[in-house]
Amino acid sequence: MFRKIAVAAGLMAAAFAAPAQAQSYPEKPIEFIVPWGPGGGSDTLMRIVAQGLTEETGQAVPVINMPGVGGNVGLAEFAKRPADGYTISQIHEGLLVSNQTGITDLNWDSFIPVALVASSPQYLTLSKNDNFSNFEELVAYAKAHPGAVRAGVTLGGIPHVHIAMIEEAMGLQFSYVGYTDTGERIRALMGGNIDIAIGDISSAKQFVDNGDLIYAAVGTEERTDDAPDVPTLKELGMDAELVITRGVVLPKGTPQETVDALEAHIEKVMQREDVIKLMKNAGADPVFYGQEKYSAYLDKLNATIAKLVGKLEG
Amino acid sequence: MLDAFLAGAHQVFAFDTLTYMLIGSVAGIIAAAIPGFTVTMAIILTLPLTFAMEPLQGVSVMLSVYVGGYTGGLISAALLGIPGTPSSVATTFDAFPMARKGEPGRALSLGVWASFFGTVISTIVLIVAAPPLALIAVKLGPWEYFALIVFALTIVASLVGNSLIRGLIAGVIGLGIATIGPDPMMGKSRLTFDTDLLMPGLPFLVVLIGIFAISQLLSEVEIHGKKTNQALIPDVIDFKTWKVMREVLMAPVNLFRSSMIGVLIGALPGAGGSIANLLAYDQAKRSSKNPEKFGEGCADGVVASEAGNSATAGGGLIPMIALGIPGSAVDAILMASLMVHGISVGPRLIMDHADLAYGMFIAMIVSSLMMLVVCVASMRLFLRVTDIPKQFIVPTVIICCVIGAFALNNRVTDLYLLGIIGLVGYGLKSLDYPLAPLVLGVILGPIAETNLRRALMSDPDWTTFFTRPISAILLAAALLSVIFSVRSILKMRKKNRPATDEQDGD
Amino acid sequence: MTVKVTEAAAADTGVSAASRARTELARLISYIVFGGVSVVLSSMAAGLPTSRWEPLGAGTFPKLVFALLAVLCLIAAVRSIIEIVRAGGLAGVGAAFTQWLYVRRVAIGLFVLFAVYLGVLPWTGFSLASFVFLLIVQLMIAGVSRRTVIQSIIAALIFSVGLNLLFAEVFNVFLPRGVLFAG
Repeated sequence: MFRKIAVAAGLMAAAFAAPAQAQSYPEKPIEFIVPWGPGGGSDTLMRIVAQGLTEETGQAVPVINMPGVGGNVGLAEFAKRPADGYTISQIHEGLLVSNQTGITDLNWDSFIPVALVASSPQYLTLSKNDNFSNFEELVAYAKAHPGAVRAGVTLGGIPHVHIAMIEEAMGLQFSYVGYTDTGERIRALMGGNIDIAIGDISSAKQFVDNGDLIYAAVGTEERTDDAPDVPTLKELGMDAELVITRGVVLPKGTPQETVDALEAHIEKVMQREDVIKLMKNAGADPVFYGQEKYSAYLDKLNATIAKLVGKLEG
Repeated sequence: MLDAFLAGAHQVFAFDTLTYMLIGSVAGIIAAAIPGFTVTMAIILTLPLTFAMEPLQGVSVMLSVYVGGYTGGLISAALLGIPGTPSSVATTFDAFPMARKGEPGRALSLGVWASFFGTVISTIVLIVAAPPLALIAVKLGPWEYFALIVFALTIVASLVGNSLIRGLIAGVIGLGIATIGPDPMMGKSRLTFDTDLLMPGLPFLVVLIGIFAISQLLSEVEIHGKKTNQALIPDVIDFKTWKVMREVLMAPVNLFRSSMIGVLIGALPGAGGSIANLLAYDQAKRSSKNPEKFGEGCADGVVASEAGNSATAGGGLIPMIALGIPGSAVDAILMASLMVHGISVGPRLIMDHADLAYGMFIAMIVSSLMMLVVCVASMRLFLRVTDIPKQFIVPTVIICCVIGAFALNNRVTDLYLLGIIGLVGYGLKSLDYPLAPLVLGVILGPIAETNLRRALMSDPDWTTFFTRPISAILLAAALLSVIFSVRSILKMRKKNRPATDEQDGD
Repeated sequence: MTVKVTEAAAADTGVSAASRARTELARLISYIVFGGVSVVLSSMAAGLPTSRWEPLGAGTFPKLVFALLAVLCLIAAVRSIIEIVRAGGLAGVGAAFTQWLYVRRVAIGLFVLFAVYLGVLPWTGFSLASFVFLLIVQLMIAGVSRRTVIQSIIAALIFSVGLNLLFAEVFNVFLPRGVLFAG
């Protein structure tokens, strides 16, 4: 045990030996509540941000995983923490959807959005099958056979919203099969147990490259560098954005100068070469939206989800 | 291929990698030996440390923690009667009675050797048969998963102890407990009475610690007319390391069967070690000539459970290395660690990063050797645990359980659940309810429900369960298993009736 | 688990019918409690809304499980009553219960302390609550003498303050700090 401690301590010390900066905030470690379990997309990306913040500020930024009820447990605890800037947390689209479907009372405006840091483009992914192998064929087949195409989604979650957006825009009707995470859905696509799903780079690219799965469309404004041959939904005649964005939030009531200081630190973190590289490795695009731009983005997104919520309930 | 193999070997056999792996092995064993701390937790704590290492180095260290952890759970299972990890539940059945009968050294040696051979067998299967097995695993749909869980539920019959009906009640309570909280499909809250306590559901680990650890510790301090502050196991200790090795190898059928169960269950994404040890134990008991010896310190029981759980380590790597699909939570963390280094794990891993894949095979073997050496060398130290008086063991293990239950999700409400479940567990134990079926129910319930609902969403036709061949075979096996159990219970009853004239409750 | 079970079984065959009936009464109570609770939970689950996405709703599975539990408890309870009647009634239940509690007096005390410990933990923080809990429990089991007091204080310090420091400093896992001493 003691050997383990000694070495672990040595390694930690090496990892955290970062240049200290002469600034008032932060003066002590910042706890980073990630309201999701370890090993997932949020966890991996936020650990990269935490590592960057540590190196930028010279203070430890320990990640604390508090999963449960779609992020609600961690965020509820976070909302109770003192608003002094020494506890930060993270949200993504899932919170907005859970709020609209009545799973939680919290929404994005229950917190102060500080900065959006990562955006993961979502791809409409098809299994290898005899009926369709691209977006147009899928639309034609689904029009001819309403309810025959099985879509893997998280019922009442973001992937459900994304599929519903496609359904609505194209006038289609799929049948839904519930899966809880992207890895599970991709596995079911591979096994031919579902026909379409929403996937991303980290979970599905290898299978697409290997010819096991097909990216039919990507939900970004422009084609992505990771998969330049995949058309955007816009090109295919559909005005919709399918991305998952993750950003850092502070509790309501945090002093403005603290919010600004954290925003400035995160902006510097997002310019670091190593952070950019690690995030790209983890399959997300590093971005930086400050307080105002992030709030505006969330506000608009909330309106979109509110419009679709009727399609999700039940 | 040889180049890649040598490149992988070169990286694993570097001095610093081996040093870190040795530390990882010790850390994994210790973490798993403490009730309440799990292998997964140890791996999560290792994860940030590996960011600073080379990819293969990082993965090798994690694998050494993993392999060590599957053995460590044995120590508290044998010496305290508390499963150190979810995958050592079945180990308590025979290793603990064996230790209480004055053979704690033999119980530990048996488990260590079984774990070692289990890991090695699983690694061999991994190297030889990963791609085809992985393809089969990924083809399995919700129908097959549901049928498999139905089959696994029938092993309750092997775990019931004295009374079939109380065993069934315990199993169904387990199924019921697992339905509390957010429903697995939509996250709608169920049976929570709108309390913060029940809203997130009852985490499996908290139930496990409460049911086994807290209840066991409470009954340690019952006073049946003798002094309490004695050591838990009073007798002198004998290891017989090499004799035990021969003993394990002399029952190759049991060892091989249990390891293969571990490999297959491990290869199925989402199942894992917590089921494999119970299934392996059940099969060992059924095919044994003296099933009545199981539960009283039978060597075959210890071997089955430990070989079964350790073999899931290699099994879980099968879908990960062949297809990039994690077989367990630990494999998902391994994948995350590789991804951060820019290595996408997927069907092309063996082609694009052959050195990494071979390196992982080598690291598995090295890890299991290290685990063996560490365990054999420090077994005397572990056994010292049994010399520590109760007044120290009981409260400190409780504290460890509290830390484990809290650190899982950082929720204070989980601690209240721990207290409540501990009390219920103690009550059940006092009334002679078997506890293992309850834990089995908690593990299997959510998988059964999710896959049943998913199957019916994919295809509303019930008959699909019987028309898909693998699903049909598994359901038939479940039926056979029930018939077999009923027959052996009837036989036991006939045998007992003239002697006692009275059945205990059932 | 299994050792206790076999002991209990061995003991069962030797002891009198009356004592068996008393044990059976305790079990009967547990069957009734579990059965009652499962009836309530099953009907609650039946009241959960159905889903338009799937044939089975959120409530179907728990409804079935708890209904099954209720049936099993009913069967067990009936058998239990038959058993008690056959064994010839319930003489000396009160005394036996007192004896039962007496054997478990330390265990019950330990659990009460554990409950109090969990209750105060969020307020006093991990270190303080654990220290006091460890100290009291060690002395309760071992008895108070100069030697046990010194040993207990040392062990309690290591496993409360020491463990807390280890987790916070090395693993960055923060155990509850306590509202009273926040900061």
